[in-house]
Amino acid sequence: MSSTEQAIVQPFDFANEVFHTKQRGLWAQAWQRLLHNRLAVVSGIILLIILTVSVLADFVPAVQLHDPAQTDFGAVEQNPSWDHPLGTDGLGRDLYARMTQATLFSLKIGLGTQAVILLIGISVGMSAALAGRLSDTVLMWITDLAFAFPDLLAIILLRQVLFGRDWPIIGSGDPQIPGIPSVLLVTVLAISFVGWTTVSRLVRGQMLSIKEQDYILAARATGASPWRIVRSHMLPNTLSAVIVAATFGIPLAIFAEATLGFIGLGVPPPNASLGSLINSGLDSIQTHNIQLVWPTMMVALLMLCFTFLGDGLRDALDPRTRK
Amino acid sequence: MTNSKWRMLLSMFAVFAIMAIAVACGDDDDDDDTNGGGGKTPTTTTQAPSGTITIGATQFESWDPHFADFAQDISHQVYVWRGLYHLDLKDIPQPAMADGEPKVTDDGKTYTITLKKDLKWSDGEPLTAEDFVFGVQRTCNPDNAGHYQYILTNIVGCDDYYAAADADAAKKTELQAAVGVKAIDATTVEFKLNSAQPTFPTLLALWPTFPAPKHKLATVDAPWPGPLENVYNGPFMPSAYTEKATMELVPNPNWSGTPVGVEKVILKYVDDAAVLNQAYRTGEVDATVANKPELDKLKTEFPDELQLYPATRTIGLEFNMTKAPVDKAEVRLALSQATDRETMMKVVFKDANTATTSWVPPTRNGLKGGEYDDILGFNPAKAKENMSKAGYPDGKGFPELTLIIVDSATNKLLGEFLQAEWKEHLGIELKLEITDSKTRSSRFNSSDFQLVTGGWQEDYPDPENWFLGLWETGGSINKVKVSIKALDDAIDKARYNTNDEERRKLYRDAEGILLKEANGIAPLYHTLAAMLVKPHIKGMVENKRPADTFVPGDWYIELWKTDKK
Amino acid sequence: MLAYAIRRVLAIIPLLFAIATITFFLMHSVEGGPFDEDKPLPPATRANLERRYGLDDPLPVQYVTYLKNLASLDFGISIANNRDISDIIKERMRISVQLGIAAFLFATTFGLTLGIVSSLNQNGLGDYFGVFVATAGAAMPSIVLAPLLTIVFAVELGWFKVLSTNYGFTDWLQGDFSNWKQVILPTIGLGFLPMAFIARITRASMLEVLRQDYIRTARAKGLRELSVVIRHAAKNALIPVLTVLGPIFAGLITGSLVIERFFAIPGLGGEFVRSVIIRDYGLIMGVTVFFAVIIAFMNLVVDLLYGIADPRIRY
Repeated sequence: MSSTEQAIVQPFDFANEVFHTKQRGLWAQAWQRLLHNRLAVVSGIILLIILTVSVLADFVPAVQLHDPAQTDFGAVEQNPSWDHPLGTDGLGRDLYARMTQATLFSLKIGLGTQAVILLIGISVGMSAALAGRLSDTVLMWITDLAFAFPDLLAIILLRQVLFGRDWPIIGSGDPQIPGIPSVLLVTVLAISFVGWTTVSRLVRGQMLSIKEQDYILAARATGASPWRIVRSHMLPNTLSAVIVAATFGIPLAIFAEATLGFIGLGVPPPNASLGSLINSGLDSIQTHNIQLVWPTMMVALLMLCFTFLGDGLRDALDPRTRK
Repeated sequence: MTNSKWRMLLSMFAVFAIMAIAVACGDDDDDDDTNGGGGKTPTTTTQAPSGTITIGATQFESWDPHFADFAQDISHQVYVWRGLYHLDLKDIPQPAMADGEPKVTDDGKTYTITLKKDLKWSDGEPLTAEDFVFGVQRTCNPDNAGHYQYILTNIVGCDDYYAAADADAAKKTELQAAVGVKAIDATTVEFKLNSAQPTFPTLLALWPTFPAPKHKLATVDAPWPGPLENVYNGPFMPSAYTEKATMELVPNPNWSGTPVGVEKVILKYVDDAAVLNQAYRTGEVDATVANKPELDKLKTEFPDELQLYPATRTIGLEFNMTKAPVDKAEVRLALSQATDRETMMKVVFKDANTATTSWVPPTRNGLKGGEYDDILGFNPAKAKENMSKAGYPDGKGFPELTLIIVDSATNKLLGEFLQAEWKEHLGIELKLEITDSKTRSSRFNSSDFQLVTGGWQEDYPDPENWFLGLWETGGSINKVKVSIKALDDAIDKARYNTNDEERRKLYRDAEGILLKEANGIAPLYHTLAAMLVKPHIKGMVENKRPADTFVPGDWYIELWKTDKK
Repeated sequence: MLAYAIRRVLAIIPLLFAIATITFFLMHSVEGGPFDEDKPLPPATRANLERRYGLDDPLPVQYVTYLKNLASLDFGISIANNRDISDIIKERMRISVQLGIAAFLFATTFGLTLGIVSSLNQNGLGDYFGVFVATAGAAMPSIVLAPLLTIVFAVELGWFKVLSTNYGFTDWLQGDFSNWKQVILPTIGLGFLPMAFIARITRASMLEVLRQDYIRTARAKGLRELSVVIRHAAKNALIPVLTVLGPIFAGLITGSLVIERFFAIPGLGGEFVRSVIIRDYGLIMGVTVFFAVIIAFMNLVVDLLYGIADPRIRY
């Protein structure tokens, strides 16, 4: 959540890596290479399973086993049993059902944050690199501005300003977009507020460096239209770096949300995130610690899987690190 | 990357291993480290102070007793300063700096108090009547903006002075002199009151009337010197202080009361009760508050060291009397009757609080408690009936109801508990709005809410503190907008009633009127103080006022003793 | 390059102005003020308090006053405890910087070692160990890692202290190492994640360099392996690592709420979160501006480092 963690999003060695393969073959080759990376494949499969189960649980009660909101004061803080495979929490709610609900919510935060970050980051970075000197200066100044904001402070302030207002879409009250409660949107926007700067710098840097490459000069000399050059050469080559950054960013957003919960600005019920489960689990670390163990393990698992997938993608997209 | 399966296994193992450690060390009840187990030899009384006690504490915000607001400020200040009187273990004011009872005129409006002889500040300067006058003037001073000025509202001229923030300097000096507190001579203070007030001696034991060292302050609104620069008249005084880290207290050589028992008291400033409990386990602190979510474990881990006793704080459902649907008495009663307080205590609070339906804690008004169980207590059938009477049979057509609570793991449980209870018994959907504490307070203070959880923490031990300003029509902190003629009358009659018996009865009547229809509040629980004290410590005696903040007996530091050298 | 650096330093000033402005209005639009307390204050008290701290002025007036004071580097006093905000920041920062530097040294030392050892033993035992530590470190959120460290190493094993209220190394200069039991756990707790990160980057970067032709050439020339690794490989592999150390360093010295809370360290991280929670406006502004200076400065350093590392980048 501090700049430390943000720094993790920053890829480190793309500066001079450019593909000389034909663009059509690039993605297919990368895909082939990815498939040969067993660790990445396993990670991808685990992520798919987690995603499927948590999404299905949202629709199909049979997958969720119990209603995550169903309390049972006679069966609080139980250990795992056949009926409650992961045990129950302080109000006797089924922890497995709570976990599926929380995992889905946290994935929405992670994916949503990265979507917003990519959208803003790529547009700003691309405009800065390609739309002339003035726009470069202005956009980079704005990027510097957002970057110099202390992350956590910005996240807290924004979350506080946005949350609980009667505004359209992000306003409080019932979700105005199905499946996307306002607190999710607010959290996503707050976390994205600072995060996009790294992506926009990355995109700009990549594009500026690609712009000077021989093959782009060659393409220009042959009279290819600027849009075509951007679309078929510059964007794909930049995207590979960005995708990798995004993969690492997802679990970090989930971490960030957990920290928000830690200072009392988490997601309110009936929503539950892995962060909010961890935070309520901290209270029972001495007494009924499986309440802490499950969500922590899930966060760890997500972190590992996204990291390995990101590693795999980077190796796959950059042929030179291939073994 | 080859051999990736291996790496996968290994890294997963890493995570699991750490988890396993967590599980292992959480589950086993390891043997107590027998710290204070050494043979308990009876100690002789009146010895030179000996030993050091380290306690867990919270950093104070303000060192200035005439400005102070927070419980942790006040606890600190009672360690090092004392007023004319001090409340004893039974909450009766006993002479501290004063020499005997005050002389009161027949109309009850003038108090004359003589100081003990040869009182000195910790720096050796004489402590005079002027210093007490100065202390009260500081609390009434508008530029100092003391939080507890309202307690002194009955002193002649205090309100006028406090309201004159925009007046010029000359006018302020004039108003300062007009405040009804005078030094007749070096050892005699005189107070003039607007009305006879039976609880006035109690107020002379509280921090807003503590003396201010006139030789240290150039003007009445001069900045209050910090811990190491100030002078003291209490049992202890700071000898070292690092903000947010520690304070060390040593006996004040010029303390005039009961001789102190320990050589040194060290305060460790820690924000998190869970962390403090870990420090208690390792012996880094000798006494501290207990972390309430861990109470179950602490009961078995430290059966003899855990102290649980009632604090004078009441929390309940607070209804905004002007907002539908809780403006209807039947709805308020139904909500109260649909709440199973006993189960709530067990499930949500792990028995760290005690269920109640009373507003004033029983110790304060001479009742046994449980008087209002029939009206407000758990009774699903009655609750359903009331809901129908209000026009919402089985919750049909019930308007949106939102409960605002402050974000914390326990509060979320509380909110979700109420959601489940009311859905089951009344068929209504409760909405939760979880906010941070300032947002909640802001809504509450502007009466912009339907339902909150909240209540009162006593400032001084008298039933009047549970009513004045809170429940009268237009009362200064009546944010739930209760407005009942009979209640107003009862409080008005009780307020400056010099017949103590009648006064207390009137406050009991007032409570009856308040709770009859859950007007503004349906009490849920009284909080318990939960503290851990090592066996080598003696003399940490519980007091409830204003709730022990750090350890039992915050107000009686002079009684603390330890066997440990 | 010097001209570029000066230009960048000057550009920080309007940046700070913009940040101060945005923070000022954001913070005042957050619901609830400093005097909204659990126990409501009587109106007369509230009015006097607002006057005392200048909060009774209209917002634009407060803003102008604030900017004026800021220009003379006067941050004002804290609403919470009437102390000078610059004093508070100075005191808290002294502790956070010590913690940050210690964690940084821990993270870089162990991160680089792990990374290099892993890369040299690719898929060997050393590699597994390195990757094991790096992944475990990154996978555990600090709100879980910190209490676990306390429970295992302070409470159960009794090796260290729970409370690190005296964290710091100033006594060490005088030869007093008595607080060593207080400094180790927080340093590890804070440094673990960056250590894992540095190890990962180092390993990846080393692996790439080791595959380069010039390393093969060096080996072919018959140079000793150690010399190849140190003089040729590590030197080049560290360039990408260097560039991430700036932001890591800035992040570490500005304090960590979680570590400070769990180890009872009076640092800046907890202070600024608290300032937002209690709406201590002056302190929020002070800390934001102060952090912004640090981040902007670190950012500049990183850009300059990039320039040194990659001569193709022009300014």
